[in-house]
Amino acid sequence: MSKEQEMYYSDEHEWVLIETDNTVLIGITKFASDNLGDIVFIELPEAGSDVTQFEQFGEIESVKAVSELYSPVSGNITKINESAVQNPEILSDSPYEEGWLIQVDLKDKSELEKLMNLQDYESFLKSGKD
Amino acid sequence: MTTTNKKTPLFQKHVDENARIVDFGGWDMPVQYEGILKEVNHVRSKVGMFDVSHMGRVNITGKDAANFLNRVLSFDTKKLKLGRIKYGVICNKDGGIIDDCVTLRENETDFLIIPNASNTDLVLNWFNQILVSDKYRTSIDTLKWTNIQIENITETTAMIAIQGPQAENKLSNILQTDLAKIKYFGSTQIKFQNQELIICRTGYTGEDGFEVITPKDFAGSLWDLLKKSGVEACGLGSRDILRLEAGLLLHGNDMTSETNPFEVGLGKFLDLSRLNYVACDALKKIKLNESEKILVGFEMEDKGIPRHGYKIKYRNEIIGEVTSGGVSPTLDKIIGIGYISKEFSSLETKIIIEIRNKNLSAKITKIPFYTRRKNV
Repeated sequence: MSKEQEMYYSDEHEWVLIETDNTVLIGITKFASDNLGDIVFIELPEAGSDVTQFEQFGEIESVKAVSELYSPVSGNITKINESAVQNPEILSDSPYEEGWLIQVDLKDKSELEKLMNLQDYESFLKSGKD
Repeated sequence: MTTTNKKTPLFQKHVDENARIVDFGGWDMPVQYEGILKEVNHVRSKVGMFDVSHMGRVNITGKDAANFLNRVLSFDTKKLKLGRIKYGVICNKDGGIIDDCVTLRENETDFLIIPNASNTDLVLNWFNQILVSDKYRTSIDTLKWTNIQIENITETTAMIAIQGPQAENKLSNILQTDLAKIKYFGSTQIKFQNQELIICRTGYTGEDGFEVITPKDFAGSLWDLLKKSGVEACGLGSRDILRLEAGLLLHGNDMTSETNPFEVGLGKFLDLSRLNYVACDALKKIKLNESEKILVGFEMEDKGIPRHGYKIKYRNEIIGEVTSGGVSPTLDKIIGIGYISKEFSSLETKIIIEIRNKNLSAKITKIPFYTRRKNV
């Protein structure tokens, strides 16, 4: 199974990948990074801070606009991807691998049920287009 | 994507080439093809092309054309040599800028003006308003317009901007015409594949380049020829950064009908010796009373992008507002322009840009931020 098939997706275009039992990686989808265009800055909270499902945890600024990042799950940030902060272009080049944003210790695994799988996310994308 | 927006004759090309389309002043226009920053680099180092057909093209012709334009334009049209182009502003009676545009004098009696896309109708309305109101004025004989035609040819033509250091070479090869002889802000008219083309050595990028006006049905063929010769298609996103780097202003962003030419540093484009000029009295008064505000350039010292409408502060005091800002890949800096009170406008002054409730530091710098090296 490919990574993308294992991922969970939010309607704010963030993905969640389960790493080990309770840790997940969070990033933005290719659709999101394509839409943002050239990304210039990423602002993330520090490791150790808490995030809450569907609440803002950071910002992505592209040449065109500023977009908010909404956490797809609740938990405690264990790591942030410094190299994405230093070189935001990796979000465009590799949104599902090198371009992950934060690693989170899950608070409540059942929150994942509120997210979409790849198939649902893809139909969600299609439904959003005219 | 279906919208009721206007589409240029090249719209289908943009869609076929997977450009991202956005609304721009009521037009569906490509904002980017490959990526905004890549496109900026391409224009600075090689050559890129832009569909600028959304901009207005208005013919002002007839024996009275020069006289009439002298009523509405900021410079003396009679001094414009044949084939030459001049940048100027169109002001209302209070001295506010209705639009900034270039004017080409095609011959003794024929002029072509290029208003901004979203201002074309406003400019046409303003011209008609002056024509009509002049009918009832008897004091100045020259105001009885008998021989003047105003024709909007925006929708029957298209316009492609070819910009970058390789522009002259590429376009000369395609058109089999030596364009080296056309001076900056000069023009020529040629027949190519039986089509009448107007070629202006102008642009909005700070690079050397041309803007070619073609009959609308020929636009696609010309676009394809350019593409085949290696001219990269670019969108309006990169054009906006290019113009900002070059310190060129955007009407609607950096100036409005509430702004006067002195505030934006366009005072040098004004000729107030013509008593017939509709904004003459107002502008003379404004000049005397010197405005408090001035347009300045700045570069960010902290990380953050200044965007239109953000506050500019000096310590805790609000001293102005950002009108344009963005990333400059050419200079590897983040730059912006905005209005501030004159007293804070000296170079290197440390200012603060309030970006989403954060105070980020910046300093006043000169505009243009970027000037191309001229090899001629």
